[in-house]
Amino acid sequence: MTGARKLLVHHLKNSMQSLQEAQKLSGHTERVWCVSWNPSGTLLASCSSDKTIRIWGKEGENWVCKSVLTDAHTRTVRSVSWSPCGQYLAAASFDATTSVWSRKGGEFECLATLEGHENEVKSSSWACTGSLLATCSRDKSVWIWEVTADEEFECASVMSTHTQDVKRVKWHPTKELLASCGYDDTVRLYREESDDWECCNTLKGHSSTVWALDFNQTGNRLATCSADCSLKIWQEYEPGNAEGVNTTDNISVWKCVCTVSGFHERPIYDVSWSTLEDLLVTAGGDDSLCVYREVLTADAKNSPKFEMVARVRGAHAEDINSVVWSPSEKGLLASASDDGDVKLWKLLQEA
Amino acid sequence: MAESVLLERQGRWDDDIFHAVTMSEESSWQQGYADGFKEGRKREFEEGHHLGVQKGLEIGREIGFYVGFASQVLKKTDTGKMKVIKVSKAIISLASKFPEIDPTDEALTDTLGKIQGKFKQLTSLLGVQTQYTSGSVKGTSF
Repeated sequence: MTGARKLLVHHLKNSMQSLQEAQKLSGHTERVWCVSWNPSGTLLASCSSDKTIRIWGKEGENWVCKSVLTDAHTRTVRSVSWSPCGQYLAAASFDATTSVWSRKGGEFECLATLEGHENEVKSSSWACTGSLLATCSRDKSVWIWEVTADEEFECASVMSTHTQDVKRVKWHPTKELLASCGYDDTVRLYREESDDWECCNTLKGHSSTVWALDFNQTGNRLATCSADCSLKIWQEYEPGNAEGVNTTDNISVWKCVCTVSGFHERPIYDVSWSTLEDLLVTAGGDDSLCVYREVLTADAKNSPKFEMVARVRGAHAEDINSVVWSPSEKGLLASASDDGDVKLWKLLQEA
Repeated sequence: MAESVLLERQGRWDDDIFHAVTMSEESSWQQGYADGFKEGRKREFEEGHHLGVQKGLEIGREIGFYVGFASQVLKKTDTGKMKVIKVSKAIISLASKFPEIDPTDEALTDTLGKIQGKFKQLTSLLGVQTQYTSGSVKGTSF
């Protein structure tokens, strides 16, 4: 253990980078729950307990609030997500509804309000094709909505495989494979089989609530973070894999190949996997941000190692609920906190 | 079982005249155990049967409601609404396959969950806010 610690310190010295606060975006009057970049990285959406959604954009060198979307929700807006085309924004709210906004005319307009969940909607996510939207709720269910040609949303499936509150849904980056996680400490994967959606995998390993998950860019790995203060990396093993990992019914198996712990002292609320570099960032209830990079190892697929390359303690004054890498600018990320602020950070290579 | 053992032993011990006296405590205990076991079994069976009837009624009522709703939808819906028809048929088909015999069958809770999900989907597609309310079945455990 001591040896491993020493090795880690050695690594840290060699590759330590720093995360520098680039800008603080103030405006929300209550805790901020989620930040989300549009696909081109030109706009940032944030949502809050103040029931509003704010859209931030760059003017000159600075990010400014471009618009405030109000009156769509009667309670906290828990999360926001952009469609792959960047034209739609979905917002999940504690008022049991999900609103979908269109910015086709330049201005944001509420296109639809999706009802169906019995209580708080926690998260929403658009599939890579843009034709499916998933939502999840404290009512333990995951809903899949089909976007029709005339911009209507039809319920395609309701799945109640989780036994508790579902915290997050996230689609695979290239396939119509959906992942969800929650208060029952599990991660579930869903796929469409003979015209019906079904849960095809249950990933167990975390010992407490799984707060968030994110696929890597290619989609053969999944990162999950939990209230057990650890980050887990799951590797996909396709049918007929070289490692001889058994698969049934021609469905891939996902195995935990790495657990990163010891960096966060409180629950980890969010994880984001950069689509531009092989970097991960986590945010937690200990007010800190941690950035990790994969270390080169002999068997990178089956037993990868991750090292922490940067950490900011007290990045916000209170719990950090959300963190996400910019899809267009290397090393840029956004975070949102209970302290009511959104912050932008730059990852710098230390001289 | 306990009874037959008792009879057999009594038969073998008939030649010992003191046996009935020295072993009276044990034989009484055994007789009592056998009687109690029989009685307990009968009562548990009754209680179990009662619980089964009650839970079965609740589940049956709920599924019956969904099937009735889906059947009505099928009657009233024009053929254009493909998805509505598909989901209604799925509810009826799932209900017809519902396991009625073995309460420990995992398929029971799975199928019930599926039917409930399909019903939610159906009401969403129809844009109605119908819910099954009277004594909804939650976490049936046996």
